[in-house]
Amino acid sequence: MEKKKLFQKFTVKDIVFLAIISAVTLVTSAVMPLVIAVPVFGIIQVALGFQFSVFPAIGVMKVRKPGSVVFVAIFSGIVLVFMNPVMFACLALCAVIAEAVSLAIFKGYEKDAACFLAGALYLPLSLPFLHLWYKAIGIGDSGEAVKALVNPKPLTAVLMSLAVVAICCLGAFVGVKISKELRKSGALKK
Amino acid sequence: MSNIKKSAVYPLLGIAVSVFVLIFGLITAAKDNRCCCIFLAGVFIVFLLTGFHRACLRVILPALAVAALFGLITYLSGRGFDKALSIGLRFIAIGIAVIPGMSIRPVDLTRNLNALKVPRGITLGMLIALNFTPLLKAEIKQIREAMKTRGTGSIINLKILYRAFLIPLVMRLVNISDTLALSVETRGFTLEGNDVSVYKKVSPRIKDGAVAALIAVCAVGALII
Amino acid sequence: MKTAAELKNVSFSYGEDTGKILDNADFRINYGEITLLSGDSGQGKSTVLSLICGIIPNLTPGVLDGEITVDSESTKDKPLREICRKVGVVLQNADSQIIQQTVEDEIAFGCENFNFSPESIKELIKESCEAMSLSPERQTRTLSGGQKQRLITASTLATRQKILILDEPLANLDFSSSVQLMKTLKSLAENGYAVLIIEHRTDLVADYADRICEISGGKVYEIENTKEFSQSKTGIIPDTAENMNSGETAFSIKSVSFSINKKEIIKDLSADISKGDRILLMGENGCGKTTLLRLLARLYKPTDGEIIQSILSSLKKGKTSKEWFRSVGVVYQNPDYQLFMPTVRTEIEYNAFSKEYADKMIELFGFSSLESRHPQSLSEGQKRRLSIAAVLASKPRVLLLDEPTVGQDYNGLKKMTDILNAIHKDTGNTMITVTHDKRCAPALCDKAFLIENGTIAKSGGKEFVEQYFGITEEKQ
Repeated sequence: MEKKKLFQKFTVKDIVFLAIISAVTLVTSAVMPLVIAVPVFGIIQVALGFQFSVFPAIGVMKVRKPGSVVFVAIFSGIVLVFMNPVMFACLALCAVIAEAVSLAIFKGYEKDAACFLAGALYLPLSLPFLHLWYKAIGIGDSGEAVKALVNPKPLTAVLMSLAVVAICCLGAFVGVKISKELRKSGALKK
Repeated sequence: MSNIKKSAVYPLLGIAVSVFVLIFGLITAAKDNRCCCIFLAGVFIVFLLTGFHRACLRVILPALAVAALFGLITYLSGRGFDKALSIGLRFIAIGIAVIPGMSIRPVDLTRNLNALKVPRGITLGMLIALNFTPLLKAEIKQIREAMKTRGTGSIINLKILYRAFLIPLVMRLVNISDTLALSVETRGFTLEGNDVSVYKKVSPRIKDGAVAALIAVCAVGALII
Repeated sequence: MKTAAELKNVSFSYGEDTGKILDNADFRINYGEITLLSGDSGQGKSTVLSLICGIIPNLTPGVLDGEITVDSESTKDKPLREICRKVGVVLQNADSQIIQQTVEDEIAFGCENFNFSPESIKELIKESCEAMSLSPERQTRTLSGGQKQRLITASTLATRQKILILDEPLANLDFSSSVQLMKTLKSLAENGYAVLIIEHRTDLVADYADRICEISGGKVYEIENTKEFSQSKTGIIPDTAENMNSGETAFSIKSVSFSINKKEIIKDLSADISKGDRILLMGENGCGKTTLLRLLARLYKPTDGEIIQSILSSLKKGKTSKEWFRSVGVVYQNPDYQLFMPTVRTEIEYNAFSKEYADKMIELFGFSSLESRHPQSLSEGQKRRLSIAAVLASKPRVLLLDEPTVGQDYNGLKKMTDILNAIHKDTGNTMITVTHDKRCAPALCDKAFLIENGTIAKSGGKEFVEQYFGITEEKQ
């Protein structure tokens, strides 16, 4: 049997589905502007974790091509760029890393576990990224939200990180489960 | 023939202005409330006078309300008036930074990016992500309503969220995207082809330069004052 | 007449193991003619569309034999874009296809893709807007369902293909919009266009069609006696129910108005609906029929006036509850919103009056052999019937049906009408239906309200419905 190429071309159908997935991720993340400046470590990720894992996981489950999560990050980023440009850059990079990790382990998206991993990793990765980013550029007199991210109370950081991972794993699991159910029924075709 | 309003600003410049206002606003809000107030007030007036008035009016009240709420919470938590003002200014900065984005028509941004030879897959995706939010909001509303009519109970219950909300939602997303993909392809859209025309070219105007210059003046002025 | 597109000895199946949907089928459409392709659900009408415009095999794979020509050239190995330069396609579900914010930009989208010059795009927008009675400046999201359908048609007309294929273009259009669209298509055909219409509502198309073909058993047959065929597919379904009016009032609508975004949709509307009545709501697209249905279901609250219900006395004013929606069943136009369980049986059993009653619904709606299937694996017609069965399983005292017949073929429509009437006879429920479909309208009503500009312009009995849909004239 011919081995499938790792990187396959995206079709218009793939792009449209991923764009719709991005749009629905944005629509269900309306809470974002409210939590952006709340000075609690990982509050954005907790508030958006489910949406930012369930829908990307569904996107990858349908499209099954490397780059799918990156597309979701870019398409949803066009709105994010006006509210939080750092978050936009961060999510795009996290998408690349999440996909790279998943592909390194599973060598493609043939297995559902690969889709789960990409979906589950995508948002939690933004926590260490943002932490390192603000540490690197120096926070100076930055706002409370940034301070909470850079110098969190250890217990808060551990608990919130665990909560983010748990929420995103749950989201990705639900995304994979829905996709499997609809694929079995014939409604979700590649 | 057409009375359709163009975007208030050259799309790429609009994005740059948004990013600048947000970053400058957040930094000054953290360092010097007075400087931030002057900058944001100046930028708001520039936006009001240069064709962004509709977006200004739509944004300012919600932004002030959220700012007041979080400012009040900060003040009541005993962190002083300056801290409360600083928190409030952050939300106002986010609100004002969104104004250029709200004044850019997605089609102008797409045409702008197409003219710059950005891959068509990216521009199509952006166009859909921007233009389909009202439709998807309506879809979500309809599904929540349908849940009521079938007597499913609260969406907070994970089982109900999965069965009665997410399953119909994903089905709708699949149907909408399949139809849309077929529609754009049968209307000649391809990812490869570069031989496409642009109905209305989007070019930078003198006004765009003036907006950028005035924003820069606001920033410098706020720093000096 | 010169052939525009042709299928010669075409066989097609969607997979190696699935049955042939087309089996050595021959079919052609000619320039200067309107061809109507009719046939029951699942017979392969959409497959023919996909084959001609190149969706098969370019986007949808399958096993294809035989030759397909468009404008005398074989479509084999031709990319979709090249075929679509000659074949314009108007698909169903206009709402999902509108990608731009204004009418002008939406129409320009296809023209830009086909690399037309800006000057000619401007001209084409003007012409197609005139042909479809649209204003280029309009925001697309503010258009009604019928206007959106016209917009998608206009955007196809603007790209100037001489072969046009329309998939159920009348599904969401009222009578006058349908007539307007058919007249436009007729004039295009007279100007040399080849027009293929795939449509269940043959009653509205037959008069304009030059040729009628029927697809059945994998073959396409040209109908010789089009008049006889048309009559067989457009017959008025007989009413099998009795008047169950109990004399008690179910809903008393008192000077109700309703506005969204300052636009008044229902204006000072008053009416009484009795328990056991079958009410039909008629009227043009956007007149307020669906809004009235939603007000009765308490999905909307009146902005003025009130609706007094005598269905559930324990219910507080303006509130809803689980019990309310068990008593007032709402069937949506699109079944996808209301189907979520993993099997047909569990879908019908969900919130059912009793297990026995759910069994009865499964039997009555013919789902016995499908009860373990996933609802989303069913055909569109089956899904629609399932959503009605699932709502009826809770034995509602009031049944509100929004366009229950869209996309149903004649046999499916007749079956559904008979089942609804049988349940009405059995339970004495109050049934309120919104429909544009003249074939089933008289069979679903004891009393009808004609809604115009948000208020009841006229009301009457079955004769009034027959008169409104022009059935009386046909009888004469």
